[in-house]
This record gives sequence, C-alpha cells and structure tokens, in this order.
Amino acid sequence: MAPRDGAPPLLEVRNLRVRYRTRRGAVHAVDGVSFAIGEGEVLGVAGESGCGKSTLVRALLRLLPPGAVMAADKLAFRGRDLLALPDRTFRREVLWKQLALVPQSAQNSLNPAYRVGDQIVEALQAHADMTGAQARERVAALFDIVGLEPGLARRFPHEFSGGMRQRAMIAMALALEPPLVIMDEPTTGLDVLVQERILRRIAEIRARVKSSILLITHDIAVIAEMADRIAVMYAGRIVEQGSTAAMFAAPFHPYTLGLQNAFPSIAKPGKELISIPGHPPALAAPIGGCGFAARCPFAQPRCGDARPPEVAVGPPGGPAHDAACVRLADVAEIRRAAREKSTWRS
Amino acid sequence: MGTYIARRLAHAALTLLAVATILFVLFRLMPGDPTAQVISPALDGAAQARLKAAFGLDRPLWQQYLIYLANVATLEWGQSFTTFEPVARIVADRMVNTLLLMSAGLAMAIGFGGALGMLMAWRRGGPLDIGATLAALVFQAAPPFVTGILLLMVLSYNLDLLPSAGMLTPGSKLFGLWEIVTSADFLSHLVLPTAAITVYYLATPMLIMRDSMLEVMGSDYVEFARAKGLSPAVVMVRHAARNALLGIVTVASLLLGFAIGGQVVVETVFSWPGMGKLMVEAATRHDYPVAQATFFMLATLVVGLNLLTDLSYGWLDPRIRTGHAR
Repeated sequence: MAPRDGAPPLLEVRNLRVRYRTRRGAVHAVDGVSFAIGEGEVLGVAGESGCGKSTLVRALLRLLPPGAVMAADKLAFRGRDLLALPDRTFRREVLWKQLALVPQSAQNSLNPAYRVGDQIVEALQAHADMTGAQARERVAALFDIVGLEPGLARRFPHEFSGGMRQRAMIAMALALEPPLVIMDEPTTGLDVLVQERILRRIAEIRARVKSSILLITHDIAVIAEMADRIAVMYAGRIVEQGSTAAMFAAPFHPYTLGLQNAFPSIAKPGKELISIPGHPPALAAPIGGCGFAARCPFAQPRCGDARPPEVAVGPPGGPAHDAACVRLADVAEIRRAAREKSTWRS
Repeated sequence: MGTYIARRLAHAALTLLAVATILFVLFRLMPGDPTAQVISPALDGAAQARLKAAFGLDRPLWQQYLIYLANVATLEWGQSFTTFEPVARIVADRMVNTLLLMSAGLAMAIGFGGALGMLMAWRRGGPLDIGATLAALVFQAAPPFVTGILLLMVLSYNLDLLPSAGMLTPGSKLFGLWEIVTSADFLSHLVLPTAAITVYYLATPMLIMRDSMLEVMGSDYVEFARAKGLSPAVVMVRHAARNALLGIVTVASLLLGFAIGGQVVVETVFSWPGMGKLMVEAATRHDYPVAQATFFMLATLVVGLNLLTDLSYGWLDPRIRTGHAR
C-alpha cells in the first residue's frame, strides 16, 4: 500500500476508527481504515454515500462534531505524529499549510459576507507572515492558476457561478502550496461540461504544483481520470486498494466489481449498467464479518464469521494491491459471474 | 445600493405621511371640542366665528388638511395651550433627550443581547446559555416600571449610588449638548433609566442572535472556516456572528416599534425630560398642539431608526447592496 522506497510516506494512516455516540448507541462510521499517500501521489477513495468517506475527511482535519470519538494506531504526516499534536498546534501548523481542503459543498463554503479574494487573504495571513499587499498579489497569482480573472477577487461569492466558486475553492486550497490537498467530491453538483473543465484544470495544476491529492468521490469516472491509486470503501472499511490500472483491469473484491458495473465506461460504450441492489448498512452495530456480505451475490456462510483481513493480491514485485475478501481464491469465477446482470438480482 | 436607499427613503416618507394623516383625523374625531381650550364657548357666536376664521377652522376640511400637512413639513406646530411657547422649541430639546436615552438603552440591549446570544450559541447548553435565557425572560416579563422602581429603590434610595430622577442635577450650569453628554453628572443620571430599558429589551435580540448563530454555525462556510485553521474566536466572530447579525438587525427594527411604549414608561418613572414624559404631560393637560407634535416626532424617530436599520441591512448583506435577489 505504501510506496516501497525508504522515505516515510506523506500521510500514513493505520487502523483509523471513528465512532459517533448517538442515543441508539455508537455508530462506527470509520472502522479500521489504513492507507498511505506518497509524495506527489493522487489517491482516490471511492464508495457509495454513507460508507464513511466524509467522516474520514473530517477525522483527518479534526473537524469531527462533538460526540464523535476518533482513534488510530498511527496517523503520521511526513513522519510527524499527528495524534500527539495539541489542537492549537494542529490548527496553526498543519491545517492549510500542510493539509488543505476543497470541501464537498464548495458552493456554500464561501462566506457570503466577504469578498472572495479577502477570504483567501484571510487563509494566507492566518498561516503565513504576509502583508495585505503581498497576500493580494498571491491571490491574483492563484486566480491565474485556476483560470479566474484576477479582478474577480473583489467580487462577492453570490456574483460567482458554480464553476467559478469551485475554482476559487481550489485556489484557496493551493494558497500555501500544501503538500496534501483533500478534495472532497470536487465535481459533484456541477454540470458535466463544468466538471470536465474543472478536472482538466486540476490536471494542469498538478503539473505545476507538486501537491499530493486525496480525492474523495463516489464517481468512478473521476477517479479513473485522476487517481494513481484507488481505495474502495464500504461500510467504514477499505475493502480493496491498489493502483488504478490494476483496480480497473483486475479487481478482486465483489464490491469493486459491482461499482464498476454501475458506471458508464468510455472504453466500452454501450456497456449495460448494472446496479448493486440494496443499501450500505446502517453502522449502528459493529459488523462482525465482511461488511458487504449482506448485499454480496457471492457471499457464503463463513463471510459473516470474522472480518476478512486485507491480503496482498498483486503480482510479486509489482505495485501493491490488497483486497479484503474470503473468496479471493475464486476470483476468476466471481469476475465472470459479476458481468452477468442476473447475478446482481437479489 | 442607490435604488435600495431611494426605495427605503420613499417608504419612510410615505409612512410619515400616513402618521400625519392619522393624527389629523384622530384629533378631529376625539370626543370634546379641542378648540374649546382656546375659543371659550362662553363668547358670543360672532366672536367664536371670528376666532375660528382666524385659526382657519372655517375652511373646508381638505384645505385644513393641506395647510396642516404644510405645517407638519415645516415643523410649524403652533403654540402650547398651557405655556404659550412655540411647540417646536419645546419639542426640540425633549427630542434630543429622548434620543439620547433611547439610543443608549437600545444600543446596550442589542449590543449585550447580541454578544450574549453569540456566546450562548457557541457554548450551547452550557451554564451561560441556561442562566441568561432564564434571566432575560424574567426581565422581559417584568414591566419596565417594576424593574425601574426596583432599580431606583436599591441603587438610588438604599445604596445612594446614583441619582434618582431627571437628566442633570437641578441648578447644573452645563451648556451645550456636547458638554452635557460628556459630563459625569449626565452620565450618572443616564445609568439607571438605560439599565431599565436594557434589561427590558435584552431578551429578544439575545434569543434571536442565539437562534441565528445556531443556524449559521451549522452552515458549510463556518465549517470551512474551521478547516482553514482559523482560531475558534475568529471563526465565531468573523464568520458565524457576522452572518448571524442579519437576524438581529431584522429584530432591531421590530424592537424599535415597541421601544416607544417602554420609553414613555421609563421616562415617567425616572422623570427623564424627554418626549415620552412630555407626551404624558400634554395628554393630561389637554395640550393638543404639544401632544400632536410629540406623537408625530416619536413616530419620526421610529421611522428614522428603522431607516437606519434597513440601510445597515444593506451594508451587512452584500447581496442586498449589489441588488442581487436570492
């Protein structure tokens, strides 16, 4: 999972757990997630709504609501232990400087009372020693990078279109050239043309800015276009992760197979779309076995016994590829059956 | 913004016209003949008619109305029936006194209420949240003449900390508005009536601020401000409270409408030489010109403060300023 050279990965997360305390007991929104992001890498996290993606983002940024409890075996940024940092230090030294966010609701994340440029200046001045003039100059440069007229910095958010707001949020995230940018559904809610333009812009920016990206989305197509590696989340766990090429060419987990069936493919136009019946489970009670077992057409009685461990499935010496399924040995048969629509009828 | 201001101004002018018209009708519908105060019914008919003609009361009603409007517009209110001073001069001083007390009281109520509401929402369910809600509701339920008299009893009569009545110590040699409002004497007189108004009006802005803060705190831009790594105080004040203020401003303009009632009572309790007290005096002495002027000028005061609120609304919400409806 981690890049295999000696340097520590940019971000390393081991066994991250988040519980929400509710009146009906604890909800295990993130249930033992481990992954790593290398320098300059784009990791895509895919999964349906309600599988814990947003909670994962909040946990990494320490934005969990009161009542949420987070724990992890390891949470390190360039080798620095984030778990040991007091809130104040985390806020001042890590947030935005090291770890910036393009939020899910970019449309509503700009404060309507202030000019867009001033909101970026605010982020700059909170973390960097800059005069107002320097900060405004930087905003103009950032607007240029994301393809906005520098003059627009003096406008208010309500004078921006959806695409412009999204670009402004990307400019804001890049303000301090953080090593890691978390993009939470960066194209959701935009029309297809604007989506395409934003994606192209992000790709262009990647060529200029060496930031790593943690890309959270339910849109497999966006991930296919941008990510170097993919982690598929289900019911608060990562069920499979590996390089984008391997994940598309030879997925191992039935859920990954199901997700791919559900999205149109540019490579295979005319492919029939097949959806996975059912919904992700409510996570009120901890799940003993495999989280997907209840919806999985290939489930066997033993799937409910114990949580399947993440097993390396990639070719020896090749890029890491892990999957958490007890039927990995039957993968050839499962892949064949997964292509049939009748398999996915419950 | 220009058209917004123009529209607000036109609204204010229309409101005042309506107030003037209602006053015109009201004073002519009142039981008893107000002119009897000046034109004695004991005079013979010809003398009465001559006097009526001298006052223009023999003309048709619409002519009287137009003359009245012209007089209102030029603040020509005639003479007091009791002191025979020009009404405009009597009212002018009182108006300033009322404005001083009213703006001090309302500013405190809105300022403290807003600040308290902000902190209450930030620590929702905490001791401040619960305690302040209870206290504010108790004070709001207590009529201002009760809190006013209690304040007088404790702080003035029992502890002798503050003066009990008036705006200045009698015989004070202060001259000019600036000298007066900056004098310790005036300020010590101001404390108690201001306190009475503040606690009476505190609850509404406080609870509204708390409510709109809670709403704003759940919004995406407040969470995003946290994600930017801003300190909690900056997030609370600059991002949450700044937007929650809109709610308070809306309430402030509603509050102003009610402010007059409390103002009249508080001025009477504290013998504050303002419009409210003047209104009560004029009404009990059947001094109609003065009463008419006080009614109209108090209405003007409310309309004027309302206009200010509307304009600050435009300043607070850029969407209104730039004429974008959303």
